[in-house]
Amino acid sequence: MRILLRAYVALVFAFIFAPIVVSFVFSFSENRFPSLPLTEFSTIWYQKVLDEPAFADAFRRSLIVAGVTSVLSTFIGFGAAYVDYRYRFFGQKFYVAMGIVPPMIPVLILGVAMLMFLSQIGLSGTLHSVIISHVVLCTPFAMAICRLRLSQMEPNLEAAAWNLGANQWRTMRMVIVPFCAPAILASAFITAAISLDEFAIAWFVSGLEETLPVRVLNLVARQSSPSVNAIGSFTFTMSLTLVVLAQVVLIFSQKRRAKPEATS
Amino acid sequence: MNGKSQGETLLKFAGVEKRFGDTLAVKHLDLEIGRGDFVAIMGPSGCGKTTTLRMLAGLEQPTAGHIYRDGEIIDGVPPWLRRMPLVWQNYALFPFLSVLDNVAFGLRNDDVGKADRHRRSMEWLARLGIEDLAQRNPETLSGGQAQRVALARALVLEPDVLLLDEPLSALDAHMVVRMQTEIAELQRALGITFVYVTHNQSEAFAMADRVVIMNEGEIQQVGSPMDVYRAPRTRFVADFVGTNNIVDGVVRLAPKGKCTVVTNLGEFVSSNPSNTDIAAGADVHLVVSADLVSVSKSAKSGKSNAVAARLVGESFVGNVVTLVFEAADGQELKVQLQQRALQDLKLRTGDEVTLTFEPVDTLIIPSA
Repeated sequence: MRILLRAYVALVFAFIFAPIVVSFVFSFSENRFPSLPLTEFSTIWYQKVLDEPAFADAFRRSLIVAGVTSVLSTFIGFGAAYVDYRYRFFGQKFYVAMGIVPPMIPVLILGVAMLMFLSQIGLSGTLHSVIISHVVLCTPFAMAICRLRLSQMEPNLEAAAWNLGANQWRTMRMVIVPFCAPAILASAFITAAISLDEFAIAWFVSGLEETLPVRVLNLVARQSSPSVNAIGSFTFTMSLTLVVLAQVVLIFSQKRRAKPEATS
Repeated sequence: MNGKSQGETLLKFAGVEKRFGDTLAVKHLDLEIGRGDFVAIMGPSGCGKTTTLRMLAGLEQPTAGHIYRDGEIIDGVPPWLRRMPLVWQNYALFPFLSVLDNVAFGLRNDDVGKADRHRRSMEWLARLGIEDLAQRNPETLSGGQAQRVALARALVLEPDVLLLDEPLSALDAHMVVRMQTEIAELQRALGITFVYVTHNQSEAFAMADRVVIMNEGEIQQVGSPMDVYRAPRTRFVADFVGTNNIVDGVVRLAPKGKCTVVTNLGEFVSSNPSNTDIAAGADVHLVVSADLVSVSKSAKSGKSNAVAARLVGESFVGNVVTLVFEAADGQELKVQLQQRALQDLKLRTGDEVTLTFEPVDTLIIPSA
């Protein structure tokens, strides 16, 4: 039974990761067509991507969008989480529910809605529109991470700071933000990773300002090039790094909390 | 109730009331706390003692009445301007700061320079015997160490008033006694006002000059620990403080200084100096402390204030034993004896005995 279960888990992982591994492997293969046996090891496809200005531009745009989205959605998400933590008000459950909704809407619908809304206010087809849409999509993740951290805070910690002469702003700066620092860092990484990968919404709202995933899809739609493998491997590594970083930060902060009590 | 303090008044509650929605946490509180007093506010959980402390710290606002400090109303003053540091039940140390930076936190808010605030913080850590812990993370400290850090963090601000909210409740029994002594000595040495909230009477009695007993949002009695212990004013206090026997009865005769009370267990005479004047016919509670009752195995007829009873159980803490007896009508009576005295008596469960107590040790309090 146990062996069956293990085999089943291994199979599931194989299904998920095999395509990625294949793409990884072929991105370093010199052969134009992905076929076995593997030909010589080469970075030619990476070189090709770098040489093509359309990709470089798309990559640059993706980085800008991811960077700005990460900062904005973490800021807004932390603020929203703090409001929920600190205050009791009418409609609080609704407020939290609304904050969590965006990622639950199918991205296609979110994309169309964003396109319609942004063109109404004359912002569609710019990099701003991608950033705005990604902030909407990413903020709930930041809010969830920060809410979790705030819920671990000793309930009197904030009042203790006030009691020692720190006003509300000072307490925010000297107590709440330092306490939430691991969560803030983790949400910055996660939201950046989500934004880097996001294709559907960006496809609707980016117009001529294509981000990297949009560029890749447009390329694949017309021709099949091993460059796609190179880009895929590269972005996968980048996203994975960000997500792993976020996990490391969160796990590290948990470990510190769980340190055993020293005896006197 | 005796809500006045002897010395110069520092803090005053005047008709303070605190309502949370439909519940009245504190009902019309009048209390004065003098400069340099060590006041313990004591009562069961939910009696309003912590709410009272939080109102002093500015963390709750009274819904009626005013709180004064040095004669000025401080109701609207935000917590960060009150300078009444609080020592929290769970210490509430900042987990991301070292012990030293925790202690220096308040000085930093006062814009004291780094060198100066570290020097002053180290002085307090040294005074409390924990200077070795300065660079430690607070989460690695034991309860007793964390408690000292919390004290240092509050006292480094050189306040006039220190608030303490059940500071010893999370400590081991042997640490509690040690910290009690330390806190009491600290208060005498500094001469600043301590307002100490606890549900534990041995803590309150060991340290405080004045004890405030609260129940259901109201003050029941204010006085020195000895007054409250020997002369409870209400049935609640008699029940809550010490180990008292309480028997209900009606006053038959009430000449000056000497009352005869009729109860289900017979007639008793009370001549306690703390008795209030009571007219014949009044409903009263007769209160006798368990350590003032004598046990004898022979029937002592003719002696006043004697009750026949049967031993039903015993419990002991250290060398003091509490014997539980049952009298004729099922009334429970408790007697506290030294372990030694019990051995001399050679009592067994079910034995019939006579319990006696002196009229002077018999207190009567009017039934509410």
